[in-house]
Amino acid sequence: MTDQSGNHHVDEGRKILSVEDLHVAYGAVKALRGISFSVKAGEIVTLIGANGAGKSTTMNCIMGLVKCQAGKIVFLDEDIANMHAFQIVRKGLSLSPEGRRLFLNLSVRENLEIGGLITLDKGKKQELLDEIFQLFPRVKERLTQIAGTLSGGEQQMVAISRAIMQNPDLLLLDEPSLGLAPNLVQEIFEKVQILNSEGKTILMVEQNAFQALRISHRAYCLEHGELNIKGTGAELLANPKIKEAYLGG
Amino acid sequence: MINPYWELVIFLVMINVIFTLSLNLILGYNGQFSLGHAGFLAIGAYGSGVATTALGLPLFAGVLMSIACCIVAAVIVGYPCLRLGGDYLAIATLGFAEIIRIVLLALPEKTFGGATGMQNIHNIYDYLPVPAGAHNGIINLIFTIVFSVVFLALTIWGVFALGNFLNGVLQKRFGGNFWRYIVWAGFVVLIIANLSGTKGTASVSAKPGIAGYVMDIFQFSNAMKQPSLESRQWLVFLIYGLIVLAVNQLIRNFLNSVPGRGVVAIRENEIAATNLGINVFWLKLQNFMLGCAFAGLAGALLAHTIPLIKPIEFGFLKSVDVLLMVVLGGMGSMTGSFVGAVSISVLPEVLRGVGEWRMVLYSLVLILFMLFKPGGIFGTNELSDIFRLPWLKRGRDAEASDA
Repeated sequence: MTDQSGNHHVDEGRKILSVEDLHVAYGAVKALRGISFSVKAGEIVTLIGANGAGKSTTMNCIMGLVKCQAGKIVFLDEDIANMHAFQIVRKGLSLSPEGRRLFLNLSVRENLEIGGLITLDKGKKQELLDEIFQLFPRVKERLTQIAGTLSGGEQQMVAISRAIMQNPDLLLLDEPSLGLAPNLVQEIFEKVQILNSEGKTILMVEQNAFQALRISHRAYCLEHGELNIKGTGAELLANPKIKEAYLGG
Repeated sequence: MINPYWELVIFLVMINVIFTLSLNLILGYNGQFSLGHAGFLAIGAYGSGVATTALGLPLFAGVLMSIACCIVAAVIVGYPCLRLGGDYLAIATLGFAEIIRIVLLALPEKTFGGATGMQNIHNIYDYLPVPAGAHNGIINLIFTIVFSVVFLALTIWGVFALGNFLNGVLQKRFGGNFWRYIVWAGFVVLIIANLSGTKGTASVSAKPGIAGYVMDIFQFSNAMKQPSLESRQWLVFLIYGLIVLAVNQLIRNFLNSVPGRGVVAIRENEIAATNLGINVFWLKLQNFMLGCAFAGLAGALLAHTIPLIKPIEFGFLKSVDVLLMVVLGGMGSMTGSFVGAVSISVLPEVLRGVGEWRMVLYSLVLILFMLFKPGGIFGTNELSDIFRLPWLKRGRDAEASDA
């Protein structure tokens, strides 16, 4: 999948992630009851759903932080279900986690460097940094600042940048708009769209259904651990059930 | 000539610096709370002690043996315990240190000395040429230092040069890069050649491996074979100082390498580190092994420095002492480790008058620091972060300027 310059090549429109009949349970509590979905190269795919529907569990299970009881997670023709988390990352997936999980005592630059520590070869680093600085000029301004002293929005930008630093084939964003002011939410989603137009494939989990659905190519709605409604972003926006439950009538 | 009492204090300070740096690597940089570090010091001390006395190995082999024993012990403790976090690891390592202490008490007295301790370990001075009085000190010193440094530099340069040459030949013949294998093999040969030396006794002076034979060949060894007491003392200071600097540099280099950055990432947030592709458990174990290896080095030096090692010295209090040094200096600061180790080692000597009250003072100091400066004297800063001296510019500063 990797050519000499370290660029990953994935054909447009090819399925790069497909989740088949995934079951996850925390003890007796069933969090996911057999969900199936797929992500094609070049898409933004969004999972929406209420609290406790299993969105973050899905993300964590794909990334190997939660073990699944049954089902398949196929990433680039390889079943990655129940692999170790660090192995999955090395396959070309990267997650910007819920609550950001930055290294709060380190500088922004150190955060970014640790982001590309394992998966990145040296020549690619500066290229990706430049890409990030273009996308988030604010990150460049704050480069030497300690990450814990940044505002919430800036921290989110750093978290996304750190995930990009791994040069992933598939970028997973877990609640990128969590706890941000409305204008910042707008900005973050614009950036996500720009990222996508530059060729990144994105799987996103979001509470802010309206904003997320507007930019996503396809979307799934998760309820009680099952995927009930699926379609393009526009279809879900027009769906009366979704309107009632997530978009405030 | 520094009197023997302060000489010992200076030696102990240097050993404590190494010991503190080793714990700082585990506790300060990786955030793993090891409360039984004295156990590894004990393994180091007894390892080298037994290797050089009962097995009759040279000093160098004894030190290597200590380090190897400590790495094995680190794997035995770390493999099950590093999966646990925080307090559990502290309890497990504490238990381990106690086990070591009790085992050392129970081992055969003939070899290990039992409760009265091991007394027959060769002092570091036993490995140096026999002294010949106090005359001609400075010339001897200069001779010894210059010869040692030049010899060391020449042999190392020789290994590299030979490596380059052989690599060139092999590359033409077979293709591929053999450089690292050749250089490693060269160093192994160098070490074995140095091990062939004999250790000194009260009347016969030591031949430090090939260096000794070279000295014999060049005939300029009379002054070196019988140095003054003062030049011997300075030579040992120099050796210990170089070891401290080498350990300091090794840890710095490690922390600036890819795995070293991963170690710091694990301290900051384990789950995030996993998410970035870092094999958290394996890296924690590696780091633990490295820290314990340095603790073993400190133990080996200790065994050859103080006249008597006994199990009671490696008890809980020793672990707390070194913990105090790390916390006082600042967890995650190399400079802090130096400052903490020096101050905590010298303070009791200065406060000799208060006797047992020093333990009360220790606790008071810890409590005061918890209240007013929880990060220790330096926090996670280094000297270079505080004074911004141009020749200390590195890491964070250097990156800031080229950004």
